[in-house]
Amino acid sequence: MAATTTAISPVVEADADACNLISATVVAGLRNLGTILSPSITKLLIANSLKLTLHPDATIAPVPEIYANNAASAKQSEYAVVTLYALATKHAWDALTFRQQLEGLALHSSAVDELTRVYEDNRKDLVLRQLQVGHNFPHITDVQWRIACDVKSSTSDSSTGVAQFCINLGRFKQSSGERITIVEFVCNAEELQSLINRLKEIERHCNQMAIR
Amino acid sequence: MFNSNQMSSLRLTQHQKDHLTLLQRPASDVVELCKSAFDYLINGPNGTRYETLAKKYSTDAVDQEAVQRTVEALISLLISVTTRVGASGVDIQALLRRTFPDISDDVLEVLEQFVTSKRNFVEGSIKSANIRSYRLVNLDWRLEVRTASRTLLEQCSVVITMKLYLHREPKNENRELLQVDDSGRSEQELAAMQEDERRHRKDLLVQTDVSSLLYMIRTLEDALAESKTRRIRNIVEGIH
Repeated sequence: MAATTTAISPVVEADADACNLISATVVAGLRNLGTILSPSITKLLIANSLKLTLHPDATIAPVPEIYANNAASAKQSEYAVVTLYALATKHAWDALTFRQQLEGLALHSSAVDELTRVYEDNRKDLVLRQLQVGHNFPHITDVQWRIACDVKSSTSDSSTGVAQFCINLGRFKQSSGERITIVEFVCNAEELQSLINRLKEIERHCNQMAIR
Repeated sequence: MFNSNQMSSLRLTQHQKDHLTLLQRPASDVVELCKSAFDYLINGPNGTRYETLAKKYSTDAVDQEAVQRTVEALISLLISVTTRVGASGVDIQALLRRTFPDISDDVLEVLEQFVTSKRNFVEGSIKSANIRSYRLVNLDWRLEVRTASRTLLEQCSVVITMKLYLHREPKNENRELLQVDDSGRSEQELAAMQEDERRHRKDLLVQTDVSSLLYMIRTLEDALAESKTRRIRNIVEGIH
């Protein structure tokens, strides 16, 4: 990833060769695949790196055989594969471009095949994963509600006679599925109706945009 | 139960009744007293104002303290009527007539206006004295299409960004109901009001996507529909 931080304009960057995007460390890591690391270990390592990329929060069972021999090379290669996929996804390479870029780096052909195959199979997931990276406002995906009516309170003997809506907007953690509250507020029927109207207004505008 | 409530008068203590003897004065004087009561609600007691009124009523040997007590008794009346009447549609005029059988019709009318015009304010204040939750008072939105990010140079995702304005201060909303004029306030008072706003207001930036938006609309509509069902209405009416 380090190579991407250099300040060049996105257009130039997109057209640049893999050599400009990918650092020497990453290239060295990729060259280990299929050479220092056997084809079967290479396969395991690529699969494991992909898992780590797609599910960073999940507990992934360690694969000790990857590091049994040449642990240092394996680690470097792991770093290289993760970086390669991140860069390829960032620049929206298709499978063909991906293969061409790798061929330019003089990698072992079995490694090029395996890397391209895995990239092609998982491109959609990689894009979805990278959509989540970066700064976002809390993203609401869930609504919970409760209707409550007071009977009596410490400050008033009589009920207000109006049902109140407690609205809780939240989201689910991607890794654990745990629900996180983003905001909670109360409103009466009138206020809820105007909230619904406002949301429908947004929906209408989304539709208009889609038609255009 | 509602009928018996409607038939009875307000339970005022002897003290309160004593303090309200000034209601025997002409309607224009009672209007003045009611105005002072509103002012008390926003600004607290105002000695000079009561002094002036007391001088006006000096023929009846009324002093400043007596005026203040009347004003306070009027507020207490306002609270009693509000908590008593709620939203149950009790005839306020009849209730006041039973409570004050010997005041003139003019004064009774003034009193009725006094208790009805600020009922929302008092109701809000009573509720606000209880546990306060945030209420949604406004929502701004913006439709965005994200075209690139550091990790994904080519993308096209529709994002709805919303700003939620939340208040938990029925008090201030009620102040607005009373149409408080800020112009005559000291800087210190304004600063205190701003501090109060800061403490009780929250703006929140959130985002969502189109399918979540549709889900939100559907779910909230369910909630609203549910609240209109016979079952919920019966329960709400039953406990009221």
